[in-house]
Amino acid sequence: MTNAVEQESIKVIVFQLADKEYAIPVSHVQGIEKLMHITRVPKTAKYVKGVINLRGVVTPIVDLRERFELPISEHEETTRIIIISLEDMEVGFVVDSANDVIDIPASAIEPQPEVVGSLEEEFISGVAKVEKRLLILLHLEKVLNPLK
Amino acid sequence: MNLFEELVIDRGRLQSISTEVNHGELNETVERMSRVMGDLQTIILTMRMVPVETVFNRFPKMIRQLSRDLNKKINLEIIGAETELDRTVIDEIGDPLVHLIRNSVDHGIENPTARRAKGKPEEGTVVLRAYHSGNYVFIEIEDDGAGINREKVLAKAISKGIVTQEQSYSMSDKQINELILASGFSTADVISDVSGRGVGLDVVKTTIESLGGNISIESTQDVGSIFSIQLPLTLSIISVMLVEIEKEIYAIPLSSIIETSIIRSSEIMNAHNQKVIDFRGKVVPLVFLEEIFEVPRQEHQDEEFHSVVIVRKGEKLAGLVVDSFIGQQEIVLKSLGNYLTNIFAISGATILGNGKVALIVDCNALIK
Repeated sequence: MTNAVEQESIKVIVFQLADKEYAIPVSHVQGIEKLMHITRVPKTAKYVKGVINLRGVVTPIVDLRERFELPISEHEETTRIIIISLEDMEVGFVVDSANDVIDIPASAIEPQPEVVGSLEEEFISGVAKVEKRLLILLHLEKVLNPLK
Repeated sequence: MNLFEELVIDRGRLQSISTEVNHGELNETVERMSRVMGDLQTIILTMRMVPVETVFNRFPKMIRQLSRDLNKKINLEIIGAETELDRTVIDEIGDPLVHLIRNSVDHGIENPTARRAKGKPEEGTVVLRAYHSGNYVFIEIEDDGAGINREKVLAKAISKGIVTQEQSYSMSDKQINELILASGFSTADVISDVSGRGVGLDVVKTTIESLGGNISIESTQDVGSIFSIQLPLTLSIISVMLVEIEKEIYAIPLSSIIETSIIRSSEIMNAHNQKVIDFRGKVVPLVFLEEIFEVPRQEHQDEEFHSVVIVRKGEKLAGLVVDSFIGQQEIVLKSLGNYLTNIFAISGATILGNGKVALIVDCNALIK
């Protein structure tokens, strides 16, 4: 959270899961891909769908709907995989759609509101109000940790 | 990505395409290309090979220093320093070796008084040995020290929850020795500055395994210990047998395979709640990969025939049961990355000719 305060604004990728919009700083995004064949990897957490061949690099895939325990839905034309890089890990997130890149002014960021009983709470590092949209800022480390 | 590896992947794809398309000239050209690549591979690998001496040459000084610090008398023998290893392996193997040697000196070799009391020469010997065998390079660290006190190791492992009392009854000496490689383990009564913090040996094990190798320990109390590291000669290109289970494709390293066989259901016997077969006079346990890998099954199959891959780890055998054999292929070993670590019985992944990822089976994990 303090990161955002040091700059005037942060550039984020906005994506959609169910009826909410989430944001991840572009500095952590390697790319956005269409859905492709996922090879199942046995004995991993349920939300780890497997691995894909991303231009020669074997990359693990996390289904964010399952990670956040949201109801599972069919994959659509708009479904995308957002490739995240965090420290020395590269992981792909399956999301309903990846909409745009916007700048969030530091002033628009607020700490996460108390939402009682929501699993998502753990994964949120704050929210931002931009125009009429409410963007949920993801805490990538918490999403990717702990595995198993 | 390594250029040669890229070539190997594309060769695989061309072979896949040429089989589908079945074009005479294309097939011939791909075959010729494969032969040329085989020669190229030999040349490239030779250029990448570096004698292990470059890693070993720091150890004499290190041992002299350690001997002084610990007040012990130690003679270091180096055998096979001219043995060559892939450059990338050389870079990674240094730290693990340092730790293993420090371990031998600190926990293995006794101080001169203790050695005299045991009737041993005051000067302890540490032998650092490297040699080639088959597709592997072996590096051994042998000492004539105190050996591993298995009772103490077991007691510590049980108290730290690494194994249970029940599990310990069925463990072999070798398995007990190797408990010292588990994380968070340390039996040193006094933690010296050199080692014994319980952090190092498990890192040694994971580093060696990440290079595609393994480490095993033999030890006799009061006589000494041998730490054996086995490393693949070719870092990342291996020959595998591709197999199919339901629609999933897995790769089994050829170096572990003795034979493939088709057996009848009627040949399967039950011994101690374990399904086994008689393979050339030996009782071989069967491992059903569809169970191990929890492969989703369409309907329950009651097959009369089963495809089995007989694999070996040292003296032990196992029969891996699959749906069918696809064929032999050379593949590029790919890591699963830093997010997915420690997947049981999977040692890595590869990219097949059709662009999809296939997982590589770690046979050693399936043989107890």
